Amino acid sequence: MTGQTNTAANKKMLAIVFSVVILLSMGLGVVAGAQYFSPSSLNVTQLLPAPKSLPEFSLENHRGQLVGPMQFKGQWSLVFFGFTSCPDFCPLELQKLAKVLALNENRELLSVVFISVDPERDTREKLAGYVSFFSPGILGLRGGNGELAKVAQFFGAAYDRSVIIDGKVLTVPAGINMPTNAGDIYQVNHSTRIFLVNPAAEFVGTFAPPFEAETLLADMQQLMGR
Amino acid sequence: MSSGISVFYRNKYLLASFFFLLLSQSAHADLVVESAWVKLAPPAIQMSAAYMKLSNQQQQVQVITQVSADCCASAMLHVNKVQGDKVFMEHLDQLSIPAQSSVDLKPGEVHIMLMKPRIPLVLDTPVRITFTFSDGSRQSVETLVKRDE
Repeated sequence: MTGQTNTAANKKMLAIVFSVVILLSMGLGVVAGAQYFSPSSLNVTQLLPAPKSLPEFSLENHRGQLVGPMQFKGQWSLVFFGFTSCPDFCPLELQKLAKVLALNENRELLSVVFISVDPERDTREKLAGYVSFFSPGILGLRGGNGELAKVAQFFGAAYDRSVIIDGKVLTVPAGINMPTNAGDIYQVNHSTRIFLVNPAAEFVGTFAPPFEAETLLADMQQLMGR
Repeated sequence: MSSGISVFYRNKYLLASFFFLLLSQSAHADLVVESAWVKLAPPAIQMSAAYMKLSNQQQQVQVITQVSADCCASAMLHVNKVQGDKVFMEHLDQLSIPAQSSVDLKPGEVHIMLMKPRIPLVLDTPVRITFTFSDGSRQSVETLVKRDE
């Protein structure tokens, strides 16, 4: 009788141990999987809590065609706001983004979009020469100040322009045309962030400099491979 | 004897003038310039930037108060400042290079902004950049237009 009780107790213990081992293994699997697939393993990219569909807009590309959110469908896009008269910062960033494009093997899966927030100085021809200088894979966009401000505001890309007129500094906010007497020497203060749009034309994340092309590419490969 | 004294005095004055010249030379601002280059700008862009490493091997600070370039209508010392997410350029009235140390002018940081070139700044175009120091002295640096690799 005692022997039978012991055997039953042993079986019960064995079942508990097995259950604990199975539960632990499942838990470990979930943790490891979460680690592997979680955004925290990205180097420089910060993902939004939920994707945001691009709003309706109409901008002109550097080839003279009107484009809207559909332009972003079908490939990942790295979006950067700047201006072509920027002597130092914009070329530095575009050069790194061009390097990301050059290092990326799946060319059709990734594009770079440069949106000029200085339409008065950045004509279509100037924009075309500018983006092509860095990479044929960069798309330049320009447009009216109101439309540009709407797109920039959607991404949270702050910018304004400042000019000295009659010895006084005048700040021209996003969305407002430059005064006709502003001349062609003025400052554009713009966002340093790069905005990430997925192939469903949804804004999904951002990253800010400093970054290296290789680390950004590693992030993009991880996101594109999901 | 008198001729001996006059020779001594003459030599003494010569010697004094020599040392004075030496002192005044060393008091002049003079930087060691390395890796100077002008960034090749995209076509039709009327702005570019020059970069270099400036080393001050003297015992006193050297202060650049003005900069000019033979290629361009205007040259200015600028620094990129980031406030929150926004980047903007700030004009520097002067640039101090502390004694026995160096300042790196490099992309994304302090640079010499070159505006309105009078000649096309194509690859390998020579550009002479001239610094004026707080003591009024000047120093010129010969550079070439290079592609940022």
